[in-house]
Amino acid sequence: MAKVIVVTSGKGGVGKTTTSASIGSGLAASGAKTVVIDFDIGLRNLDLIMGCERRVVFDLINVINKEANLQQALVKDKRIEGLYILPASQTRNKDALNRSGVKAVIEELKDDGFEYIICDSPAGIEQGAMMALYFADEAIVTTNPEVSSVRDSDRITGMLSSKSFRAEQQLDPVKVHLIITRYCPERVKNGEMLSIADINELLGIELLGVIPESESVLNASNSGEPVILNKDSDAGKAYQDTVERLLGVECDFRFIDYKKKGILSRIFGV
Amino acid sequence: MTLKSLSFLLFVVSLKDGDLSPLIEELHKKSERSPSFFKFSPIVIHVDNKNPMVDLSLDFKQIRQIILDEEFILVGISGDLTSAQKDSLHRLDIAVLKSANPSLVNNAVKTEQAEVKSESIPVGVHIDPKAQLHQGKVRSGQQVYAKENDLVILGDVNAGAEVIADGNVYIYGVLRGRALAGATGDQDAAVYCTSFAPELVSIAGTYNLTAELPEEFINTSCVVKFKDKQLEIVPLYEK
Repeated sequence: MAKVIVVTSGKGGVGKTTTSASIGSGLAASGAKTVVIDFDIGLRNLDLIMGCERRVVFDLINVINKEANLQQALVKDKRIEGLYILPASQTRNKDALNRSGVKAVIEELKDDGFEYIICDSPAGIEQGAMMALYFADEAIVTTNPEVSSVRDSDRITGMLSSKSFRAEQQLDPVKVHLIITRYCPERVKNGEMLSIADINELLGIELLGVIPESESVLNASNSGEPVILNKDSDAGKAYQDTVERLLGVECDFRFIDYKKKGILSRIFGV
Repeated sequence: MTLKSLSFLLFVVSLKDGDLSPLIEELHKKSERSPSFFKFSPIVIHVDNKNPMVDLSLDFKQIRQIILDEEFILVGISGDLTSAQKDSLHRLDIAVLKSANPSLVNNAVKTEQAEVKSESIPVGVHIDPKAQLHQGKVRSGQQVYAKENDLVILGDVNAGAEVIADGNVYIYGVLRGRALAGATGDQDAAVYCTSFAPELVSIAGTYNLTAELPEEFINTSCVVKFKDKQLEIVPLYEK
């Protein structure tokens, strides 16, 4: 049974696209046919993060407007078998999205045998974000350990429970997961950052993953390679754990406790 | 078309004696406090003949006029009426009602709920005696409103969320957002919560922001009431 998962946050710049790219790559690497759809019409980024921007010919809006068919618009990932990207249009705006068009695209993807359909939501709570979350079965709410981001995540979680197809049809509610990105245990310990417990108290959403603050995330974005593929970085490992949890495998949370560096590790940098 | 028997909840006013001025006063007070709620509300007058103070020569025509003047609607008269009283009611086309709940308190003027068997077309509003319940967190941007009712929240009210009731607001959780009780002007309404850290609290239109609230109540269990034209906060539990 195909699953539609929206990656959303309310606030911008918290790591939705980074998360979409890494989760999509991780799921595909596990052997599931996966597509990541960029709903950020007009501010298309997903193709950059996933390193396929030069191969984009048609986009989601072309498919919705029937100017191209789905097969023409899907971009196949070169690294991972079974991973596809459906890019956003850069020249249009969010009003170009409509519910029936999005529904038709998602139905066609399901018929094509996609197991995971990841919808990378734009920031905000307007048309684009609403379209991205409307057909979701599950949601990954991305948040930074910081009050405004948590507040916006709270808002979007409320909208998932009232504005989605599942809510409107009174089906089982959208299953909501939480990913905390840019987590820095040292700053949490010094009281400069919200802790996992603080965020849990405010949001009360099941925690799927905690991604530590890491230079490798920026490097990955710049090189167009999802950070999950960097097996040496903490952020990459944390995303891998997150994918495992999404697939139902229990694993401990890593990189959430602050360990003071010893003199040797300071000298040798390990 | 069939004739059916239905039960309604109606306001009942008990008359203690022949003096009608407390009735005028009470109705006026009610309609002034929440005009939209009480306007054209159906009302029943209960006559207590067992009370020796009651003047048996009540002028029902005058009672009906008083009620109309205060913009209520007289549904009928209940109580242990004498046959003379019943006769005069029949002449005035006022219904004689039998209450299913005989134990009315004989306070001077007291609103009570009483069940009235009626074969007529439904009139007036239905008052739900149960408080409106919201289960789970109220998230930022969400608004819960209990019209003409109390509101019970089982969960936190997060920052940016708003809970509003025409009656009282009870929060079994942390209040971080806004809570407004007595939204249509009921100054007896209150906000109760188990942990208090609001953006704003309001009773009957009088509000306080976080900065205006006494700090010692933050993160405690407390009640916000309206007293002497301002909000008063008291601990929910005796210390």
